Amino acid sequence: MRAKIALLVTGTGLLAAIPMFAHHSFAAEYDRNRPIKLTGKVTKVEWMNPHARFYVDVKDDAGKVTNWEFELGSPNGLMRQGWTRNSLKEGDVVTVEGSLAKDGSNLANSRTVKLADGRKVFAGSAEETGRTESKVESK
Amino acid sequence: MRLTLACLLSLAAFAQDGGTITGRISDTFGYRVSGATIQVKNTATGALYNKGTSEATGEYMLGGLPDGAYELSVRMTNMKPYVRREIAVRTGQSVRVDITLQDDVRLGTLGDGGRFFQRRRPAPPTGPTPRMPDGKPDLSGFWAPGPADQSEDEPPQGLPWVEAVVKARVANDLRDMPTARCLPNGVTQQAGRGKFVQTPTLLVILLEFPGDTRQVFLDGRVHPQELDPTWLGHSIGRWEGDTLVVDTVGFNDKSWLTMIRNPYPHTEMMHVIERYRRPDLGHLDLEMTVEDPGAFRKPWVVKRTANLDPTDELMENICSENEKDLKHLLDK
Repeated sequence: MRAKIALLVTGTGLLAAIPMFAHHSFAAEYDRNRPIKLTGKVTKVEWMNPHARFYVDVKDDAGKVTNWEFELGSPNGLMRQGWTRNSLKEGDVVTVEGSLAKDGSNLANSRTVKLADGRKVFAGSAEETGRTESKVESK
Repeated sequence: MRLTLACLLSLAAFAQDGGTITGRISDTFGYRVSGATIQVKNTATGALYNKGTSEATGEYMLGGLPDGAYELSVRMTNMKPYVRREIAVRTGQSVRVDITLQDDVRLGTLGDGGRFFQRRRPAPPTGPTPRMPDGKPDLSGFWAPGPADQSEDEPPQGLPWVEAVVKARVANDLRDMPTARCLPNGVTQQAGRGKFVQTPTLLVILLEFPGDTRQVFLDGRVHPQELDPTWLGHSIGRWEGDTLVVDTVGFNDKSWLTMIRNPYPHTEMMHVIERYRRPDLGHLDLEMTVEDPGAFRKPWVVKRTANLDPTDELMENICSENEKDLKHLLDK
């Protein structure tokens, strides 16, 4: 499996809504300006507090395999979104988008996790709806 | 995001020169989004118009637009940028564009992604205020955060040493927030949330992270003369009509006022007064006053609302079970 690492520059600001649960600062650990997209096979899932985590073997173009660690939200927060400890299992092939750790370790914060068939597990919103409507009024 | 367009006739006369784009901005939870930055650009000329922000109700209106096609851009912290192109505007017409902003969520972004944890909660149940046998309101229930009040945007007025600490904490990406070490959020961060269990003489507030318990004594006792400084302090409550006034002293100086928005330090002189009202079955209102002559020029007053969520329950959260972030938190 080919590893695809995409580093893009985005300009998202850092401020925050009031968190119901704040464990650690995002910005002290991850770099918003270094998005990453990796595909590989899940080797382990840790469904534990304060964060659920999973590990993925990612093969690069030269065939070298590296085990990456991905951080999720807390199991409690994920369960409140409808996910369970079985939503992601060892052996699943996933594509993960997230932000790289600042300290250079093979660690990233997950933003979305997609299975090989395109289904999302651990997406930010369990149900992504576009309820936007616009109406044109004229007199 | 899918947009549907419908043409409606409006009888309202429009006195303003030029055309208008108006609408309401909401999030995917249905809450109105205030303070979003809105800008329209004339597609042909590139001219920018009416850079403003959405109202507390989420409504916005950009008027005085010359005839033409416009691009509408909306930006809001922690939400994905929104762009809508080819909005046709004509003099005397009002074009309505209601917008749902998507969260810009990172799943481990605790703090940055707080909205994620609010999930799509059901509307709070309706009904009268539950009452104890003695007629006092019963505040018991699992209280989930309601929409943020603007008072939370007003930071405290800190003494110079306090402002210097805040500046350093922000410059250091809030690396040293107590919760990163699985230490308590503190009373000021968590007030108005959690599971309330009320008896006639004791209110217990259970906090999910990192599993703290607050005891608020309702039996008429006063604060002890000698108090060991603690994270959560010593709390006593008394009723003023239907308002429960919780008075807390005896804090240590280790907690932060809030983790993200107002990462202020305080001293052991901090005095917190929480005034709770349950106006009906589904809502809990809090006005919190934080006094600390050692840290702030004047009391900091914030309002919070919480919604009863009978479909949810407090969950176990043992922070030290698998804490692996600390070693990756960089000091600048």
